[in-house]
Order: sequence, then C-alpha cells, then structure tokens
Amino acid sequence: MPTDDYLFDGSGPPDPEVEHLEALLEPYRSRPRQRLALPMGLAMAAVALLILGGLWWTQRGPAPWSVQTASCDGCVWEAGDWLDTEREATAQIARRGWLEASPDTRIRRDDSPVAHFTLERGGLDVFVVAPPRWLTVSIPGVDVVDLGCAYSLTVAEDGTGIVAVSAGSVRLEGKGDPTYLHAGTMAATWPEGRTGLPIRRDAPDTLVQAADAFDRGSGEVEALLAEARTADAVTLWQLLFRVSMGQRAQVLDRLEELLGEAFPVDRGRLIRLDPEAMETALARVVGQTL
Amino acid sequence: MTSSSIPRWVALARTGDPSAWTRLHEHFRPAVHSVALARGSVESAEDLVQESFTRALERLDELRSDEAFGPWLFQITRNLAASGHRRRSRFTVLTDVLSFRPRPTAEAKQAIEAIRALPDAYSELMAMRLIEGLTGPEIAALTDRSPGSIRVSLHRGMKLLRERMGVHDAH
Repeated sequence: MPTDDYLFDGSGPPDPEVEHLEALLEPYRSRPRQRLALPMGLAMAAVALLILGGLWWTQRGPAPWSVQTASCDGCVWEAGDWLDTEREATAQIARRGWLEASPDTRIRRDDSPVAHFTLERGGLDVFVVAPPRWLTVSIPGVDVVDLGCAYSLTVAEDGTGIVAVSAGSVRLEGKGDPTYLHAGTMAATWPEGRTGLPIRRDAPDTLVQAADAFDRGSGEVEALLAEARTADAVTLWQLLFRVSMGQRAQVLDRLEELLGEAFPVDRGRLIRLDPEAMETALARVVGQTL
Repeated sequence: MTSSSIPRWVALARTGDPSAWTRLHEHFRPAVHSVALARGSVESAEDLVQESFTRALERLDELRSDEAFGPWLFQITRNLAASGHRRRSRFTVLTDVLSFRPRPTAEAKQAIEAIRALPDAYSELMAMRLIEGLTGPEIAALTDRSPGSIRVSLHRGMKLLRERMGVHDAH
C-alpha cells in the first residue's frame, strides 16, 4: 500500500494516483515561455548573439549603467540623466542588456527600481536578457514593455513611432487593450496612445500601406483583406478585434480562404470573440504561418 | 537559493540589483504560479504571476521582514486574484499558443478544477505539489511553515481531492 512519503517528498514507493495526477497536470506547469516565432536557427543565432554580447560586456567590465559614445567611454548613466546623441552611442543596462542609440536621439534613464527609459525622439536597438517586464521604454503615448527580446524603436519629431521586434516579444501599452508584438512583426504608435495593427516585417508594401491607412482611420478593411497573404494571417486574426461584428465574418472568410480550410470552431463564437474559440483559431493560424 | 539566503537576496534586490531579483523570481515563480492557479483563473495565471512580481518589486520597500518575502509575495498574488485581476489583453493567447505546451485533456481540466475547488488551506499546496512538482520540504521552505504541517496538509488535501474526484481512498 502506498504511503504519504511519495506525496510528501517523492521518496518511498510511488503512489499511482499521485503519479497519474502529476502527469495529467503537466500542461499547467509553470515554465519559461519558449518563443518560437522565429525560425529555430535564427532564434538560436539571436540567443547566441545576446549571450556573446553579454559576455563581451561582462568581460569588458563597464559600470552597470554606463554609456559609450565617441566622446565618453564608460560614463556612468545616472537615473534622471538625459542622453542626447550626435553620433551612435551604446549604453549598458545593468549588465542585463544594452541599447544602441542612433544619432540625434534623446533618451532619459528614469529613476526606477527596474530599467525604465523615456525616449523622446530618435532610434534605439534594444537587447535584453531579463525577466519579462523588467525593461520598459516609454515613447509618446505608449509604453513598450519588454517580454525578453531584441527590438528596434523609432520615434519621429511628431511623436509617432515604429516598434519592430527581432526576437522574443514586447507588449505595447497605450490606450485600450495592450497589443502584443512577436518576433518578425512591427507596429506603429501614436502620441495619443493608439497602437497600430501588427504586421510582419516582410509584409509587402501594399499591405503596409493598407494597414497604415486602416490605423489612421482612412482605410478600408477590404484593402487589407485583398493585400494579405497566407503569411499575414496573424495580422488578419488581430484585425478581428478591431473591426465591427458585421465585418468579422468578412475577415473570417478571407482568413479561411488563405488558410485553405475552415476553423474547427463555431463561426458565431468567433464573431463574438469568444476567447477559447479565438485561441483555437489562432492555433490554426500560427500552425500554418509561423 | 536556500531559505536562509532569501533575506540576503531580498536586501540586494532592494538596492536595485537585477540579478538578485532574477534569482528571487526564479526561486519563487513556481509557487507563485500555484497560488495564481488556485486563486485566480487558469487562463490568466501566467499574467497574474507577472503582475505579482511587478507589484512586489514596486513595493519591496514596504516589506517589513525580509525573511517573510515568500508569504508576502503570495499574499500579493492572492490580493490581486481577489481584486478580480483579469487577463489584461485578449492577445495574451498568442503567447500561450506560441509556447507549444501540451494541451490539457478533459481529465486534466477536471483535475485542476477539483484542486481549485479545495478549501484555500489545501488548494495552493496541492497545486505546488501536483502541478509544479515541488516537494513537501521545498513547499515548507517557500511558505515559511514547518515540514510537519505541510505533510499533514498534503495528506488531507489529497484525501479531499480523491473524494471530490470520485477516487476511492486507499489510505
């Protein structure tokens, strides 16, 4: 007869019921999320780049928060300090990552227990190996929250921005629901807090233009549907959340046409954006396109 | 990380040392996830975990005793769950799908709901043991309780779980 030893500390004869429950509940176990949106080889290369970059910084031994520019190598970057770049600059972020600022960039390291920056204008390439949400860059109207990744940010003089993710994912927190951007996708941002429809970085210009027009409120859903390829199905899936109920059937028709099969869930549930049905549909989209 | 070293890591984290926070995050994450599963919704558990750590980091200066970091962190998770924390974005599901974890079966869903329906004193512990695979001594260290009391709670929790899942108690 089994004893409580196995339940308590795993010693003693295994309890078949406990073993069965352990196996059964495995899908609910917490684990670091894998990010497989990139082709595996490219993802591994990105990880290797991050690790090698981190080692380089560690061995080089800069201060935890420091900046390297043409005129200053290893200057400490104090909280509250603005960095205005004339040429490219690289900053160490607490030995957890680094950012590369383009010329004519204005960015502040904010006073925060985690890594928080305010990018007023210019361009950044950000690489970070840290727990999700450890690094945030505030741009006009939107917070770009790192979920463990590499990404680029550009903010124009008028406050509009572009966020493009190379590896991992980020969360855009503006007005309304956050938008998740995954590796290989990008989205526009506006100073009033709007975030644009995520699109693939390799999307054709015609789709980029259609998405831009849609984001600005002057485009038609039909144009997006016409320009989307099978590879852009994730964009159309996200479009479902941004159109009226009446238009969702149209988007679903196009999605199913691109994927070559109907979603294995009730159409009405998809039109109502039922979370479980949407997840099932997304699984089909991801399975065929990423 | 041992329970005796936790206060040191907490103190380091308070100074803004990100590696210390990372260690604490790694050490407590499975247990926090168990509390999130037991007290919040299954679908938003991952988000609740992240929110818990973010709140804890923001409020680290309010922690009165560094030795009590674990129970304090779990209470943050419980409070967030009780205040109706919801998945903050419908797009979260994209991340979940991309994780490619095995899909729970209908029996697994029944099992986790049975754990969640247990009295509070048992649901978190059973989640830590059966879902996260933590041992009784590990749970005792994380929750700042004695191994003996954890053994008793696991025994009673398992007995209740068997009854509720319609399994004959062989013990």
